[in-house]
Amino acid sequence: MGQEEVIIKINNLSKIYNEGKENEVRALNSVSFSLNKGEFTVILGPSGAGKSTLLNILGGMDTPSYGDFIFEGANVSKYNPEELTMFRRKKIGFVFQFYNLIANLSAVENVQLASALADDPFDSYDILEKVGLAKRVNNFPPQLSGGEQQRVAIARALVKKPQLLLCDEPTGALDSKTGSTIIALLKDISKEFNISVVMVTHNAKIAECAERLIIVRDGQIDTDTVNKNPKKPEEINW
Amino acid sequence: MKKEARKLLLKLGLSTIKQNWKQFLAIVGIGGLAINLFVGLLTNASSFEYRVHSMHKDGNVADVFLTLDPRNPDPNDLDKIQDIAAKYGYSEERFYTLTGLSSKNALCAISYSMPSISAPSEIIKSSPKQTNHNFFIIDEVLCESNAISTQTIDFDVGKICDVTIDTSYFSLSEEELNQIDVLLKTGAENPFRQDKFILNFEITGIMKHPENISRAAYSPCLFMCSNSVFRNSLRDKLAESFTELGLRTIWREGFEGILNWGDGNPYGSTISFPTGNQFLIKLYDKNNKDKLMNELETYFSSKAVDNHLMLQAIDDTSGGMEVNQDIKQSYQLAFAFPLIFFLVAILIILTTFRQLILKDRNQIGTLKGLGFKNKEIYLYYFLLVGAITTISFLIGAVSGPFLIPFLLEMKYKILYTLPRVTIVFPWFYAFLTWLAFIAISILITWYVSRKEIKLKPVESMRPKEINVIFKAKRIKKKKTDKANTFKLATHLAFRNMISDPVKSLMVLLGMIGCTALLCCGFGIEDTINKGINNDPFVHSGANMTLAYVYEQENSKTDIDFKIEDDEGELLINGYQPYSRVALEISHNSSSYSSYIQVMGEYRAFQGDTNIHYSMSDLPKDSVYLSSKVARKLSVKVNDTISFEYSGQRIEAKVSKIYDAFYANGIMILGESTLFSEPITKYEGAWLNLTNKNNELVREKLTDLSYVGSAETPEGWAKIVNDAVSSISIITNAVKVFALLLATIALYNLGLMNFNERIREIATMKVLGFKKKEVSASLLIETLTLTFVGAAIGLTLGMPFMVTVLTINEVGMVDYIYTVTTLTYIFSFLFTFLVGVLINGLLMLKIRGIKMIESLKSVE
Ligand SMILES: Nc1ncnc2c1ncn2[C@@H]1O[C@H](COP(=O)(O)OP(=O)(O)OP(=O)(O)O)[C@@H](O)[C@H]1O
Ligand SMILES: [Mg+2]
Repeated sequence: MGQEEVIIKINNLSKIYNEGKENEVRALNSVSFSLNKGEFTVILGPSGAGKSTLLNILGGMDTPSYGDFIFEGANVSKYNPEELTMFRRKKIGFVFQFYNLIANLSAVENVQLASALADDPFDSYDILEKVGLAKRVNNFPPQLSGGEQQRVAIARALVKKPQLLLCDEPTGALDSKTGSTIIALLKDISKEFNISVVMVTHNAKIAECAERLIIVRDGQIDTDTVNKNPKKPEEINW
Repeated sequence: MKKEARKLLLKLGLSTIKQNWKQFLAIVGIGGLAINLFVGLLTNASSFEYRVHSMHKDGNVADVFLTLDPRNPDPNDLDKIQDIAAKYGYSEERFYTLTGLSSKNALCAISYSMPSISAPSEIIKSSPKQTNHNFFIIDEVLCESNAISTQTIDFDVGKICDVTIDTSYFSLSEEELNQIDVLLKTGAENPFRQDKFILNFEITGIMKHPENISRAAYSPCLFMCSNSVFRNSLRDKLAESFTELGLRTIWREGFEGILNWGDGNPYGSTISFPTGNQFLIKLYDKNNKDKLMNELETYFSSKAVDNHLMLQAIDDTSGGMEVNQDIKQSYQLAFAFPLIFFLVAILIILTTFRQLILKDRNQIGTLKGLGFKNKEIYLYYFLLVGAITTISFLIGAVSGPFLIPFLLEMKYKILYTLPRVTIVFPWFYAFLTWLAFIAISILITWYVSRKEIKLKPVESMRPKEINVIFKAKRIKKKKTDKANTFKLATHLAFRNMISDPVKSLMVLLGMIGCTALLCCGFGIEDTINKGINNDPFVHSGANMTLAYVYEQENSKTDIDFKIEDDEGELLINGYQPYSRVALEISHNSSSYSSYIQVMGEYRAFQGDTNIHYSMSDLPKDSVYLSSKVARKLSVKVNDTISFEYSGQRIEAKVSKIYDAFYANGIMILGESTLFSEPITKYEGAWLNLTNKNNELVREKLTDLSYVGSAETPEGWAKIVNDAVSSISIITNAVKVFALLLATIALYNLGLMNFNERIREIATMKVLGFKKKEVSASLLIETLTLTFVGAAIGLTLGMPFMVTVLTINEVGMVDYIYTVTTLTYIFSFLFTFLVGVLINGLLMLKIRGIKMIESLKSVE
């Protein structure tokens, strides 16, 4: 691997809820770090640490109170809502804990819904094949298992060819076996398409397979380590 | 249930109401509206009925009216009739005939003293002179200037008025007239040789009278006069023409005078002249009405000369019939419109509670986990829906009776003279309504909640599995996969519609209702306009329509109409006389009250002589019949009908059935061969004006003593429009309700739709969809439903209108049902517009959806 290309730079980022009021919460307190392209990053931390808050800001779903979020040289923290929409549309793929598929659209249509927005998307069928759902493309979400639904959600996030794939506890609603295949899939994708993946979890075991591990505590970065030899998802057991 | 548990449920209920206040408000609103209308209309009906009955009671109105021919008295009648009447009740006599009171037609009732049967129900005003034997009381309606007459007559207590009465009631022979002639003052004319007397009376009182409830222009009002007042006035009149000696000769109290009116007291009752020719019979038991009438019928048919003119029960008199029909209608009205609103209210309860319970799945699971029984959870929801429906009932049931009767009083004021509005609250019906409303709501709540409540706690805490209606298709891999947002949005929209058919159906019903109601409202106006614009009489083609005053109707000469301007130029080219008279039309064994229109021949003063106003193709040997009467009597072309006109019984072939709005009944030529001699007396005329100065013509005409009214075609249209004024009120109400319905139904269902989709919308926003793109599927869904609903609604507009007009039949007019294309277009566009506006409003909410919050938890 040659010169690592920085895709995200975070400078003194803070998110303060109800600022100045009695119930003020500093969800993120002056956080700084940067992420490289194609890196598989895991953000670990206890509940309430500010993981989701950070991820939401990275995904353009929320704006920081202070500090800068630089994405490929552009300052996303200065974006207006329309620019944020376009940012989400062009750059970001998001995977939720509870899949959030649209029940009245079939698997492939859920994927197409995202691909319709992109300039140069993958083929929806190809991407579903990639996540191992070639046989279930025309099923509707309620007809799919949780793991299958999460695969559809990943396919939906990937189809746009995002630069950054954000996953907030993607395995949170799944059993460990299904969960590890999902993580394997995410890692795989990250490598194959050179996409940066940021995954949030509060499960330390999962963190073992990260290339980069950021531990967040009380809205601040506790540790930020690069793992030269990440474990394979199949090896971990939680 | 423990006290704490009850408290917990109460808190839960309150927070549920707080969270869903908009939808609960919609339920309360539309439910309240339905109840308001229903209870209000019922109150109106019962109040109206009560007022009519109290007027009947206060005036002790006769149950049966028997009218004899005053020119053909039979001395044996009195005892016989009194005997028959005494079997079932009691009776009174009075002299009763049609006269002219100044320029108005008025029924005159002369009695010896203030009657006990058919007395005034209320004396509004009276002079101190008025006593039991000395009265001249006119109906209050006679004091009002009436739409048909342009002359304003200032009737009031103490004022003098003229009464025109037929001299033929005195039945003097030529020999007797000659005898009287010698008693005249020198140069005076014998008043008995004229057709009519004009007598002067001082008004002693103004009343409401139970025989006079209807104020329709075609039903003349009553005035009551005591025998002595009448005789004094007559005496004063005769004193103008006869010498003092002559008058005393004629006026011999012993009734052996020259006039045979002394014998005109064949009944030996206290009434001398005029002869009591009408018997008012009051029954002890109303069920004996038919028996009594049969016996009277039998008596007269057994006589050599049947001298009775009419035998009618109060309900069969034209005024009585009209009121009764209106009472019936007012009850029917209560069941027509509110029903729609009930349905809508129930639909809204259904959707709201269904959504509520889906949202509450977790809560239901939690409650069960806490140990609540199914029964208790049901009870919780039932109490919630019960409370809401009760609130809406109370709002409606209190506001309705205070609002609706006063609103409809606008109609009744035009049509009837009634005592002040008295609210008669229909307790029983209201209670039933409340029970029904609650029962239905609870049933609905049970229906939508039963599945969820039966679930095990664990099951209800899991996300609900959505029914998948769509079968997964076999994989068909497409070569190019360029997805398009619009196509997907359309797919999504249609699937959403199909996967929640109940909700889609509700939106549809709302839209159908709105369009149909709008179509109905505007269609009624179309129908009335079409009727007025195509009526052969209202739109005869003449520039002006004249109606003569009663007493002068047959003494017209051509010269009278020759109205000139200041330069002496004729302003009238000519005229065509006509008559329109109420009569009974018979076919086979049935008969129907309607009108006859007799068309005279055009008479030219100058210019064109060959002019026919209205129905120029009428043949001489047959008549035309209006479709309404043809329908009522099931008459077809070439059938024969019979009727009586100016003393002749006529059998006539119907050669054409025509559509008319106002000019219903028979159309016949004055010179028709069906008459034994051509008609020369007419009630009015159509004028052919030179159009130089029509206002001057009108002024000059109304100055003529024999002209009752002179109307332009526009004026006529207005008069006819007034006759259907009650319909107009309903029409406007219908339109307002249509919009309310559309707004409430669409907004509520749209809101619900929106709330259900919040997660979906948030997901799409995360994917990078713009607001416009997010709204596409919601918009496609509602607009499709609106479109389809409006289209279906259009087809229902016409039947709906026909129903409304049938329920609100106005005896005088016949509707030619029409809905114009413009109405269709307008109703459609309007509904669609409301749909778009409300959706636009909901779309604004998309902006407010917070992605993070909306997606945080499981639903
Ligand atoms: N909208 C909000 N208003 C106020 N405080 C908030 C809001 N959203 C989050 N917080 C607070 O910010 C802090 C960080 O929340 P965040 O959701 O990022 O935690 P997390 O690390 O994702 O936790 P978990 O592992 O439980 O998901 C928490 O203390 C939370 O209470
Ligand atoms: Mg979180």
